[in-house]
Amino acid sequence: MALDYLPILAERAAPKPPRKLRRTPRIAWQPLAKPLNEMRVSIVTSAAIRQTNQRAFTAGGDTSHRRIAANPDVEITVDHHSPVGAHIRMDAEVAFPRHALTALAAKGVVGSVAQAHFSIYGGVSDHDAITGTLAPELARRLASMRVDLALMVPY
Amino acid sequence: MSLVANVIEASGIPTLLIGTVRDIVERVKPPRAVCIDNPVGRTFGRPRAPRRRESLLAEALGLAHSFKRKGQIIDIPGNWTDRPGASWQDMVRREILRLPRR
Repeated sequence: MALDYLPILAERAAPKPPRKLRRTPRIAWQPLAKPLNEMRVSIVTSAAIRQTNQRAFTAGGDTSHRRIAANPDVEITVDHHSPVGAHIRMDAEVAFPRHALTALAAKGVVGSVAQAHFSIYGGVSDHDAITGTLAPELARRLASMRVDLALMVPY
Repeated sequence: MSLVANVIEASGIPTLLIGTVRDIVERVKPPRAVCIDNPVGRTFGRPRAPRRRESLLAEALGLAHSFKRKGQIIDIPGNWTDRPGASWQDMVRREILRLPRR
């Protein structure tokens, strides 16, 4: 049975109330247009990963994003300050599987990897900035690369 | 992440969320979600295990066409192997609560 995280997060936040989860007002739905082996796929991670040569993310409400070149040899850094971060700092693939996705494309399991992946800082509570600015900008950039499937990997 | 997924999906690009925190995913309602029974922050398993990770990613991606309704969650087993005497559930609880390791 899956671990229940909400009681643990409530215990951590106590005596304050836990962070509010924002449920989407309406679930969107776009049918898949292609079989997996024809899809161009891009990863969107919320682990606050960036190319090491890019500006660092900052804790406490950063609603910016970073474009990470799909070349899996590009050096990356994890900026997220999560207490569960020991393993991702050993191997970012545990939550940002860019090498694995590249390997699956080489084997023909997925059609191709898009030119870039994207990264944001998860756990930000400024929901208006996320839905009004950040997410539309990500959507625009994914569309410009003709992405068929955005692989969302929360951290 | 669910808010972002819904905006991207509404713009015309299908999304597939692959996560671990089942009870939170249930609440926030992304369009499609595969939940892997692995510890949070380690969606694809242990570090430096590329073959097992690739296999798990392939399994999750292979479910993309299996969703029958929006907001559906499909669960798959994880690939995390516990160290003797230490469950990953206990490890995660200690990490989040910043308790000392056992």
